[in-house]
Amino acid sequence: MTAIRLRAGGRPWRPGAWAGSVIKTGGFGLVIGLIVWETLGQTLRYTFLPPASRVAGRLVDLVTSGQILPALATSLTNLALGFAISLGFGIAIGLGMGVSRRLAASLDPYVNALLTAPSLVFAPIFFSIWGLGRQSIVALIVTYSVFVVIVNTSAAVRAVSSDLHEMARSFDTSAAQTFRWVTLPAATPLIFTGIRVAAARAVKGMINGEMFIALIGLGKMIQDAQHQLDATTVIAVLSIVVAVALLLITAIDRIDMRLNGWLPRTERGT
Amino acid sequence: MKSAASEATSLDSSGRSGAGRSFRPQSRRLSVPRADAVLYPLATLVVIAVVWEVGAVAADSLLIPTFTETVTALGALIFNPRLWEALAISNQALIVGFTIALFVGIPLGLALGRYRGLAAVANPYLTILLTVPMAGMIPLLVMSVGIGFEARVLMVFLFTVIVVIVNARAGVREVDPALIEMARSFGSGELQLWRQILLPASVPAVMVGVRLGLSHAVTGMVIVELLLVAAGIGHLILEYQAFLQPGSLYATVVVVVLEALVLISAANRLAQRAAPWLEPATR
Repeated sequence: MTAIRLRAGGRPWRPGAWAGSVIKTGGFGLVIGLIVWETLGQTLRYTFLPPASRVAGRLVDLVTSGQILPALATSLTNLALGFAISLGFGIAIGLGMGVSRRLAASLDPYVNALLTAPSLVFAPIFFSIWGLGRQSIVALIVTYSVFVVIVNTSAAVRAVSSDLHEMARSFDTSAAQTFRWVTLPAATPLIFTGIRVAAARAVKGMINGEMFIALIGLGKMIQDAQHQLDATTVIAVLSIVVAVALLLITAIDRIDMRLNGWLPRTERGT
Repeated sequence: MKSAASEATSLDSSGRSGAGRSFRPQSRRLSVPRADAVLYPLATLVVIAVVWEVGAVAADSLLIPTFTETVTALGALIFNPRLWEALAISNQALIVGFTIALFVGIPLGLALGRYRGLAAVANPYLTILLTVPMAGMIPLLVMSVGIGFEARVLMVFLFTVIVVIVNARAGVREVDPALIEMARSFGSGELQLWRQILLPASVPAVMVGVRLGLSHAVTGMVIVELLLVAAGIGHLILEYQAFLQPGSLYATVVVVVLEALVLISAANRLAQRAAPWLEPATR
């Protein structure tokens, strides 16, 4: 499956092995992009497009002066709280929905609706309940990330092959044993797919909450920079946000590999 | 259920390590009798309503409406011409931005799926753009196009185009190579290959992108109105918030959610129409 996926549709393309390896890593594209960005920034001099070098300089400034640290700490705390709640509730509810037909029937339409709805519209509602506090932002992060965890977890449990269940039953396992030793391990790979998507969404919820509900953390830095028409800082802070998201996703992938590395490649679907 | 799974795979196919974990929910589909499919959700609604009603009465806050207040406000709002004006204003930006995103995103995505060199240059950017919170781009938007109609359209476009590109790319990439080989061995040229193999085979994935793009577009529309340009529905929400009309505020939120759902189910219908020759599992 993997080999097919990667090859499919790709014309054989061999511009020499060395160039190929540089290009394949994506580093090549980034270098081109940086050069174009720098040149355009230097020549056009638009406020919204500062040259790459200036953004990099600002990034270094923000980090070395320690200016970014309190904001980053606040944002990461919000993120950690929101994401942890999402994982806890998401996996628990998802497992419940995967196992119980009744629960699934009761919650399915609502979970799907909330998954597709624009999450930020709920911000005024959280604001009315919790005011400007951290709870509102955490609640928004949960709204952004919990539903994709629920949906993927319940789908994962339902997608466990019935052959496995039959096998377990023929070995006379109890329902609890089957759940713990058959269903759960078989469902983890797909559960992790949900968790990975949820991580990216949680980071978005964090920034949106901090820009819209209460001005704190990295979101406040972006808003402040906007008022001063300071695109350099906006892009610098955004790149930190992207770095946070990518680091979080990488960490999740690591855990995924740890937990699911023993599965044959086809079962992992990677 | 289907939508999230396809979203998960579509995000995966952005070139991240876990590319395209497919799953087949039909293997142990728990079938629900028809009546239950209506009764259970209704029961949930009753539970939510009761908890909400009791909670709101207990909280006794000026800002939190009870369930009945919200329903009443929703009834009044539907007959309020201001809601329909606001929806019309919001949806102008949605339609324009979404259409441009499709015209840009689908060809670009198809090309990225076919030509590896192009994809190698573009992939890191797509990964970044998939993770970057678009709302954070709003300041750059203000500085470039101001706070008018263009800003709203551009925001909808930015929210939509990435997911459209990524799914169109996945569509071409995942065409069965045996089909391509077969076409080649019968002497088809590049143009013919596109017309007869690549385009028809990638329609389902493209439609997934269109559907997800639509849901992102609605998000973009609302976000830009709440954070930047107080127009349309966003303006209405902010106004009800400022004038302490919580019932109407909550009702407006419900309207936005309903609009998103209606649009997405319409897109689903369209997707089924557009590619009836392929199994629903691949959609």
